[in-house]
Amino acid sequence: MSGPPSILVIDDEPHTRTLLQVTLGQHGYHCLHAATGREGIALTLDREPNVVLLDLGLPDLDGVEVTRLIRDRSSVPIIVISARGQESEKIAALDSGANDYVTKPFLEGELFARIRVALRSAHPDETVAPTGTTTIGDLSFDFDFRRVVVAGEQVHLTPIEYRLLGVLVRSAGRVLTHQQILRQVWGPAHAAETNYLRVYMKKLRYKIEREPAKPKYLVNEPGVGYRFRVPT
Amino acid sequence: MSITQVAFHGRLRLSGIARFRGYLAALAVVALCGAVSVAGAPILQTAAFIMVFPLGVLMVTVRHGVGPAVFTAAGGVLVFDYIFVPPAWAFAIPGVKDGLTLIVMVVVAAVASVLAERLRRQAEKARRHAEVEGLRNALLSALSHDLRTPLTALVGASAALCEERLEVGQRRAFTHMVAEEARRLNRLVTNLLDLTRLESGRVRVKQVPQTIDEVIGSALCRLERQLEGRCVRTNVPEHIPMAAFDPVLIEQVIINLVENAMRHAGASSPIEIASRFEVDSILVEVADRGPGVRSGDEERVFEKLYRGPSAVGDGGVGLGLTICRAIVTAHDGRIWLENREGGGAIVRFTLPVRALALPRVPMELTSAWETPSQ
Repeated sequence: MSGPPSILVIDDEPHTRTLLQVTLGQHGYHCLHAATGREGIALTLDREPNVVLLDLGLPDLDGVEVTRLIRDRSSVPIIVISARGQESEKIAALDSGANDYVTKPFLEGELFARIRVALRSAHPDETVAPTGTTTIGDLSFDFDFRRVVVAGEQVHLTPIEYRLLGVLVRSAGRVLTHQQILRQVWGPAHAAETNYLRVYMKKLRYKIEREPAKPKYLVNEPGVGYRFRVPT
Repeated sequence: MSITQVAFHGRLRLSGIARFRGYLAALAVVALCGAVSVAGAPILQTAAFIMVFPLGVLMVTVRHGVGPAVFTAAGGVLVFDYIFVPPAWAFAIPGVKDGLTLIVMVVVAAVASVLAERLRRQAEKARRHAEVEGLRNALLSALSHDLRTPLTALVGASAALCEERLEVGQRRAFTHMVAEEARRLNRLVTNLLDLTRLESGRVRVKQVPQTIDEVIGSALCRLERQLEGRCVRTNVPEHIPMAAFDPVLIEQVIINLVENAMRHAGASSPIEIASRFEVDSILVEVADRGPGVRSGDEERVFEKLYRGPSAVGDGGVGLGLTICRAIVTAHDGRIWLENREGGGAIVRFTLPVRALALPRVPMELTSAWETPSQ
């Protein structure tokens, strides 16, 4: 695709739309906007934007519904805009195909970080084995030789820890819900075992973070899931 | 459960000692009734002094509730039987006449104590209601002031920004004012929404086990920008067990405590966050090296709308610690503040670790599911 990436904003608040249009324009994106869920779905299919920013509180359709309807026909990355305290709605949107979320009121930097990640990894194909080495900050993850190096030192991980970190690294920068991680690491039969996940996340944090209670990479999103943060 | 009810709950739980005292009182009343009836027996008829016992039951009920009242009634029956039912001064199975007296005594005691208990509850409820109402009014008036202050600045500054004729310096000052006041409003609204959520009873303390280190971590991530350039030390050992708590609310507690430390302790004060396991609960502490609080105010800082002497005009609203206490109490924990030796304040809170079905570290070798790379 040629030209600047286009971003569709679906939000019924005119001020939020204006604000996003101006800031997106300043960052070199082309901005489309819709005030209702139906209009947003139509525009998504018609204009094929590169990213959709979707407010969860629309007047006509439930945000989760909009996500599902878009996902039926398009794989465009969807970033949900939600309020704090709407954890279950966030999870529902993520589970029905949204890629990430930001919590209102968001800071510009946070939003653009999410957009960049969404543009980079529009839809990682989870059935294809990753290869090569991914380096993020001072951590490098070698998928071929199953080696993890942090600050120049190799870290010894158990098979599950390795798999868990691999899943997070492959989706670096993007939030993954507890269920999504459990399904990918332990298999669909164990999607409800959040306790296992917490135990292993903790082990992993104590192995790769210098200050585990002030993590640089393995960030918790309370009530939703985890994010492998890409330092800026 | 409302904040005030949460506070009352704490008080009710403390009344375990009070209840013990109720039973002691019941014992004393039984002894007294026995003594009075023995003293009165030569002068009066049994039917008259027998009424001493229900009177005792009634008194115990009014002051100490149903449990001690039942205890008194049972004690009364035993004493009556022991002293008066022939053979005297021995336990015996009563005849028809004495049996009837005993039954009447028990029924009178029961009815009286039920009525008295109902009365006591109504009085208590009315008192609580009045107290809640008073708090709510005070809160409302203070809040409307606190909400209007940033709004006034926002309305004024943004209107000024709409004007074309502003100098560059003024424009910059107003822009910063808008940003600062909007942040303040956001903080206030976040706290208010928490308060509303707690008041409306929509907060269920989730019984999902959490690890404390990741909640401390996410709180520090959310504060990262504000903490930039400040020395923040964490000390959270790996082997702290899980506890059931609401991660969003406990994160807010930690955020409020760290923000408090930032506001009151000055830019150069380091902030230390530590956690450890103690007997049956997890302890979390947030410490600074600021001026601390005025000696004697350690408990008052948790009151609604309390503002420290250094807090005037700092953008705080005097709700942060109140909300912390409400959240921690709703988790059956405790929160308190101490001045540190060598200067500074330290706030500690506990979260009980109930007998949880902790995951046996499992599933390390799952053969049914392999990564695609294998």
